[in-house]
Amino acid sequence: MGRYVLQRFIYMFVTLFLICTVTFFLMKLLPGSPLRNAEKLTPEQKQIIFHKYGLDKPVPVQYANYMKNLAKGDLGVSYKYDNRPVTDMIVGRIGPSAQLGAQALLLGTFMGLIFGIIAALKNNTIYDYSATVLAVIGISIPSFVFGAILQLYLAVKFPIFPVAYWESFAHTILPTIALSVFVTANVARFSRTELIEVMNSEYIVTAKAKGISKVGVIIKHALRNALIPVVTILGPMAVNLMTGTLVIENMYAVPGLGSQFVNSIVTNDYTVIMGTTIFYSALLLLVIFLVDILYGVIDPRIRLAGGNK
Amino acid sequence: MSNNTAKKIPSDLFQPAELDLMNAEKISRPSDSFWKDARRRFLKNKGAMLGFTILGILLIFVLFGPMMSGHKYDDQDLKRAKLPPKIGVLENVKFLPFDGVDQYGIDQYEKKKVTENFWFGTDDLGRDIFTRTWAGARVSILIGLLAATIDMLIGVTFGGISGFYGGRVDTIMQRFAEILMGIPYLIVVILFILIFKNPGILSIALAMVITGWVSMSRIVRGQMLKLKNQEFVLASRTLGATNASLIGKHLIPNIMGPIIVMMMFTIPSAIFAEAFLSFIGLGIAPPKASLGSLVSDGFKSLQTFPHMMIIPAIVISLLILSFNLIADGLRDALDPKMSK
Repeated sequence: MGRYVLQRFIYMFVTLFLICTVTFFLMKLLPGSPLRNAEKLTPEQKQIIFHKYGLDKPVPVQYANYMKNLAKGDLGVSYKYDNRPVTDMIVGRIGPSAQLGAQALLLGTFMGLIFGIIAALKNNTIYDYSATVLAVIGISIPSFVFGAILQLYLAVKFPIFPVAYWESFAHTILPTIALSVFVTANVARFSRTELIEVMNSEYIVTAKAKGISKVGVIIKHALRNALIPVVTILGPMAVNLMTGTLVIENMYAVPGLGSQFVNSIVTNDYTVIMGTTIFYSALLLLVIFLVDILYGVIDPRIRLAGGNK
Repeated sequence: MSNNTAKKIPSDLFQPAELDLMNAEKISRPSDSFWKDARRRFLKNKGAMLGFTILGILLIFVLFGPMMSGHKYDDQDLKRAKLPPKIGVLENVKFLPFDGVDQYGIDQYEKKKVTENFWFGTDDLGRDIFTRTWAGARVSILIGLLAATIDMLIGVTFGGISGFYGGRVDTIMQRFAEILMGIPYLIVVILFILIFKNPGILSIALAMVITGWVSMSRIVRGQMLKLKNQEFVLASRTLGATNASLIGKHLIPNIMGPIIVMMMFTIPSAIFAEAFLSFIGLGIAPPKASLGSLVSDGFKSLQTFPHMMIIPAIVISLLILSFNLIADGLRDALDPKMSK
């Protein structure tokens, strides 16, 4: 187990290093200038600005400097927002995004489990079919379509919830629902398949034969084993929630990391793009790493086979 | 019940059956090939058939839609801008939103003195949304198909070599794949799209392939490892088949099933990814449109002219849904063990 954890950790580190390197050199290839009013500046003025940001040095030196600072947690300063450190900008924006993500994950998992369990226990009935159909629809419709429809009907036409902005809990409800649809659908599909498989296994038949009540069998014997593999979809889930927040935060004017990232793309703010990319990648790699470890810990059968999906 | 009926039959009606050893094992019906069997399972799958029907209808419109209304996708005319949808016969049906009346109850066609009908309305530059939706769907489908095809070519080659040769080659290739696998897909796509200033269909599809092929290569490698030591491969090898003909004639045809299923799942996710890129302002450049860019443009005037977003949103949802349904059905049909 220790060796497995170490191996995973090294992979995570190598991948992150690679991402940082690729991101850095891709940013050097980007067209356009990060400077405001670039065409109005004289060559001397440009020279001064480039010198200030260390952009006049050869690219390998810039790369070495960037990586050195990165190791200290320093992601450079924004070109657009008056030299604000990128690290501060990310930390300052992470609250709403994290809250949205966590709420959507909780709501989605909860709803998904309910749908999945009902579908599995009433296998091949109308409940099962409708849950399956809903799940396929939930996976197919993009979150921004859900977001827009919710906004149009539940905020504009029937003003039950606020249209946008980030002020109270009521403001978080619509974006949370829009984000959670994909999670719900995925968890429902996955837990249904797992639970059906478990319910047909021999130890469940034994438990039933011993006279344990139906509820007892489901809660104590079936669910506990059926839910272990659901942990594996946490990784893809995190990726999806991240991409979801990019769009949904813009849609609902949430001052989160996602809307800042999209904004930095539009304004060519290189250091912010780079910093946020690296931050997102590190976060996702960490989630995948933790899921791998967690899976090995809670299900001893997988330990040696390795948690790679 | 059945016991009673059995007792009623007198025993003298029974005759000893003749034991014919020659014909006992005779195959009396034509045997089903794997593909025939899979086709039967696929045709029986209601979800897949529904997906197939939806996709068929959409494809007809995608092929002929842009020529049907007589407007080109980039014909601008501000005099007829922001018209709500109006369809000839359906305008008399009260509950359908095809009467040319906007949400404030004003007949925009009368007000703007437009005699022509725009079936899906027009956008803020007066471009016909019907034509743009189907032209956009063309772009979206093309991106999906291209991404899936390139994915398949790279993935099958990489996975095939890795699985077939095994040993050190496999180890090195798998380490490489594992690192690529760890890179978040959409982040790489965003970074590469940023480099192309005005991304076209090919560059968007290519950006999606950069890490997208890894999952295909993993499936091919897994199947390769399973198959390469089976008897029919060993027999062929004994008879002197070269590695190339072993891979091309024996192994790849046998893993066609999972490859097709994987491709079918790649298409909708590429369509979704393109829509996502459009939404954050990185998609196809105007005046060209994709379903994603139409939805994203329409979102800007969602509250005043909801039809501009809702129509392309419905089309893209149906498109992704139909591909997902077909892919699910194909997976169940080609690999019965994988389902349920």
